[in-house]
Amino acid sequence: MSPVQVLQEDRPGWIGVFICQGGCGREVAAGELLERSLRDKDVAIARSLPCLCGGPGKEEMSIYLKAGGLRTLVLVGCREKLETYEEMMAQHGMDHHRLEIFDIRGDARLLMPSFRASLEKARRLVDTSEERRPAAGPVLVLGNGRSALAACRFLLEHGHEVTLADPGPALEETAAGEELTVHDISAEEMAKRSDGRFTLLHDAPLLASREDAAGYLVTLDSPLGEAEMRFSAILAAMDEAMAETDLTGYGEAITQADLEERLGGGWKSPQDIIMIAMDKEGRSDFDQRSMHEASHNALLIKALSPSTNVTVIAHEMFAFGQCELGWKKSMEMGVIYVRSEKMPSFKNGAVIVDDPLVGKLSLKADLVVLDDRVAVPEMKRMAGALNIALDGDGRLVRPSQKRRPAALSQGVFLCGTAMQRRQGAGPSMEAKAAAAALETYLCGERVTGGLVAQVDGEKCSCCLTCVRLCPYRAPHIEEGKAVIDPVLCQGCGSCQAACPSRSIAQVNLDDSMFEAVLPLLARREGQ
Amino acid sequence: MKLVIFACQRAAQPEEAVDEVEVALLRLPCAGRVDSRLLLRSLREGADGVLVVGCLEGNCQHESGCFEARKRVEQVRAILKQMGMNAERVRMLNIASNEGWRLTDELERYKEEGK
Repeated sequence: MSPVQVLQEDRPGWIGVFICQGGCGREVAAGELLERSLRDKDVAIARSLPCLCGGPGKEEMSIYLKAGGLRTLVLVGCREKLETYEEMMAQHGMDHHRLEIFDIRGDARLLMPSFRASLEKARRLVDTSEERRPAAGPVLVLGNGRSALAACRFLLEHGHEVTLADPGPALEETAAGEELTVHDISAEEMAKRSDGRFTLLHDAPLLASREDAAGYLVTLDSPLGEAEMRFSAILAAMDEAMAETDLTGYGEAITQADLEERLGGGWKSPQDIIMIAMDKEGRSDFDQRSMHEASHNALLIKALSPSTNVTVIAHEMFAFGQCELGWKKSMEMGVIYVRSEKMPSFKNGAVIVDDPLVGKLSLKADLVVLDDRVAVPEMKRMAGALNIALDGDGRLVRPSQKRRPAALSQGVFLCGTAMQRRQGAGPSMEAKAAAAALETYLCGERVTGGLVAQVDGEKCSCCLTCVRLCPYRAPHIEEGKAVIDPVLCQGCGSCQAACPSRSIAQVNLDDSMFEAVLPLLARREGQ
Repeated sequence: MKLVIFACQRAAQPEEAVDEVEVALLRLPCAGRVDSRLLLRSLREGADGVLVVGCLEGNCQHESGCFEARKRVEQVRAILKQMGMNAERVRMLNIASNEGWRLTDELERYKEEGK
């Protein structure tokens, strides 16, 4: 029987247990562990192989991984080979965070050769990995445009249930109807292809959100009234929206978008065209978009009618990535770039640039092309509900990676162009990155190799030390005794060290292991 | 010269062996895992010094781990002082994982002081 059949027909589970039979000199009697693992209905496959990190054992394991269906791996092997295993999982499209290693050489070495204890450890590891089921629930994406769609697409691809709440009446999309491109897909098409896992709500601004143990309780304002919904995580992916450009005061001015439209339709361009790539206040917000659009259109005009004079007035010469090539090429073709600190004025068919050094520079203009403006949507309510700060321009403030974003709740993620500017990979890549971080939050970070703390109820004196200490809020009091939630516990062990009544022990790393190894020092002294 | 090093698995690990210093390394999931009993126990078992290595302060994966560790190390040092022993035998260091040389330096210093 091929491994594919083993996985798909006989056992519908999702945990794979692989035991290294010690090519590196340690043997594990795997029989008992294998038998116990197979009794668990979530364990799809349990095998003991000659050596997991190389040779035939590795090859066999990769056949099982290739067959698909496995989501979590429990390996009894060497933790030093962690990277090898993570690489293997990544190669087969698995999330490498979902790997539990019971280390036969590292931690367990402390108790070797007491073999029964090490088996006990492995058994507990299978138990804890079972308890640590991913809390993958529905995800709420707040967004109005492409970033939100890119993020939704990523999450749907990875099997999550997604609700997209759009505060406005319509999404800003680049793909329409059944049109499919590599990066874009319309919301309508996405809904059709996702087997009902995708819900789109229009006119549904976020009113409030509350975090509790099970995730987020969110209140959305919908056309049918306020609705309370529960989500595991929230992704805020708001984009800037296109805004009206004020065209008054510059003769018969048009915007870059109008120009593009005209160029497409066999338009005969006038002799002198001036493009002004800044906003009315003369403020340059270091927008790639302004310069990009201007140089792109200038290049197009020059290609269509080389005798036309095109001048671009900009605050900041800036192009992004490959656009710089277009910018250079347009200069070679004779487009003139003029730098101006403030928005030039317009009088009698000429644009006047006021330069402190050169003086007034008058440029004849048959047509003035102004910049397309974008505006940050109103996000005060949303930011308040999610506890995110807004800066002076009304953009969402990015939480600092280094300082712990204490204000930002753990399951809230940000992307989209309506947050503070950063020169990054681009909106859709950033959206994907945020979605990936969210996915890691849902099921990745909570795997720690089976290290969890447990309370011995009889010893516990209910002093609340652990409750106050734990950075993950894992312990709580039940009937006068502390109980540690194994899903929340990240296995740092601070509570065990702090517990005054010594009632807490980490299941796979208790003090007896240290006590077993410390006398070795004394013995060495005697030699 | 025997040293027991309790090191957070994310912080620096001893890289180079230093002559005449025997090192027993115990890797912990977080420096906050050390408790005073383990530190005193290592001294009782014959260690000449105990070193707790945690991540840089404010950089702890578990937020407060290295502060917890420092608190306990200070407790143990106070106990040693009361007993009239050399408190410098137990130390806490905050060394990032890419600063292994600082740990090597510290081992050298232990060696100098031990002579």
